[in-house]
Amino acid sequence: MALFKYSAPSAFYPLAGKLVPWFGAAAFVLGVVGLYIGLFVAPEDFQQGEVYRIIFIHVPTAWMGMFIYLVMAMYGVLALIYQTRLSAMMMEALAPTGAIFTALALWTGALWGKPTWGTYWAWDARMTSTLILLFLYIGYIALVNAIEDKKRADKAGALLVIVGSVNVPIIYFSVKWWNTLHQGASISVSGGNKMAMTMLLAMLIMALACWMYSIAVALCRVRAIILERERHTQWVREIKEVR
Amino acid sequence: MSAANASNAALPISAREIIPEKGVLVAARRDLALAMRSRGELVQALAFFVICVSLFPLAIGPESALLKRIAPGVVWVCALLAVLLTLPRLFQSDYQDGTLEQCLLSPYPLPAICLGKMLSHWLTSGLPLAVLSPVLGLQFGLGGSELMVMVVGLLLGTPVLTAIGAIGAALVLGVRSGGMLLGLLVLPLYIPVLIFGAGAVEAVLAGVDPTANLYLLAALFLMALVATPYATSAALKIALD
Amino acid sequence: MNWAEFFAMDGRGFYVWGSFGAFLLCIAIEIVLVRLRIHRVQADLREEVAAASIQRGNA
Repeated sequence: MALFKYSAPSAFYPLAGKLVPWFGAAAFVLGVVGLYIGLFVAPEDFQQGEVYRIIFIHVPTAWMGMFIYLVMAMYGVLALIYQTRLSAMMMEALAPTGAIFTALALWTGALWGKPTWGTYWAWDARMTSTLILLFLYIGYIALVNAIEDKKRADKAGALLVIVGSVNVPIIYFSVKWWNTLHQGASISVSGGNKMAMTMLLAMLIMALACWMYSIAVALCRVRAIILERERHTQWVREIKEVR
Repeated sequence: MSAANASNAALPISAREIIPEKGVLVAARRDLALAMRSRGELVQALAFFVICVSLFPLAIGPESALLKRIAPGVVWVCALLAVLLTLPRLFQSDYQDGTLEQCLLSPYPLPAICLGKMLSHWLTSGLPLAVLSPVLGLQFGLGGSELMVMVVGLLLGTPVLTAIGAIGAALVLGVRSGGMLLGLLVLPLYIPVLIFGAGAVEAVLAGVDPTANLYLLAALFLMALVATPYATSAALKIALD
Repeated sequence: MNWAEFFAMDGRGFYVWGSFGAFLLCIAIEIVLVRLRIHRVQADLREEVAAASIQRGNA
């Protein structure tokens, strides 16, 4: 299999180097287009006014926060089953980006909440589960940094994220259950019932931009991780950035 | 010294008639024997639970309606924290004196040994907490049926706390400042148990049927029973590699 | 539409620009940090390789 060739860090490092500019450029172009449509083309929301434009940041970051955790869990399975070091390195490279997106989703959610329903923070099911997701990211990052033996840190992190991802649906269900039990904090975050076509378009383009950005930044970070880990090997001494 | 002797006596490595499932009992019996020697720790965890719960009326004030309202949450959060504090006990000493490495070589499967260790841990942490909780509930003005549901909830929920906590305890073995880290890893995963457990008691307080909450706790218990011994043994193998 | 009106966002500019600003700021910081990280490793490696080649030259 040609793909397996790239599971070796020495083969993946140059490949990632070639891919980063492309994904970065895609993220930039999509981001500019998405922001343009979101800020200038999309019409004002007839209920919320201009402030609804926060969803063009809020929803994509929330999606990416969840999606990246899922991708990390898949890499975790690969790391434990096939013992590929690169999968674990990808997890380590993705985690900070996922945590940042999750934190941004919370931050923008708060800034959106204040003008629309009068409070920065409500213990709404979605906001609460996003907060818990942030805790899961923090736990993973803390664990991987605390274990000094890298090989062990890789596997421990992979197992933790798999256990966490199994728990995510349970946590989400329990928080929803808790939320319906305690009436009063239930808030519809769906942003009105009918979204104009341009609004949906702007949101999707921004989501794509965030996706491309995550890939670019994770690939760049995984390059740094590869070099840090493999600094004593011969191939690292022969790459063109070092000569 | 005597602990090491006990472990050798309780883990017979004989070639004949090894029944894998017996590993659960063998490990549980050995850990229980060790726990009985350090009863102080057991009492300390209980005392922590009692003190922690008693802090809330002092912080909030003795208004009985309010206390009754927050009682389920307070008792459950304190139970969570008390169990969290006892988690290092699960593997720490066995890790330090090398018994865990022997467990890997033992004829019994590692998941069975893990399950046995969890069983022993629950018998010496969750079970006493559940038994003690009605007294604390009385302090908060809970009545008979509420106390009943609280005990049943704790009996169903604390094993899950032990089981999930065992994965975390195995992951942080030998890591500096492992205790703090353990809380970071494990507490978010405890949230469903907390919600259903406290929710059951709150349901009774609100005059609603608590059985749905208890069934959900039971479901969590069964899932944890099936899955966590394997996850814990995987975590132990990673830690000992 | 004039620019002042655009930036005011119905008088809720703080919330809108607080969100968009935080988003762009976080991304900018992350990009800078990641670039610093990889450049630092590469610089370290360059130094090591250079030192090794000098040693080889002496020997």
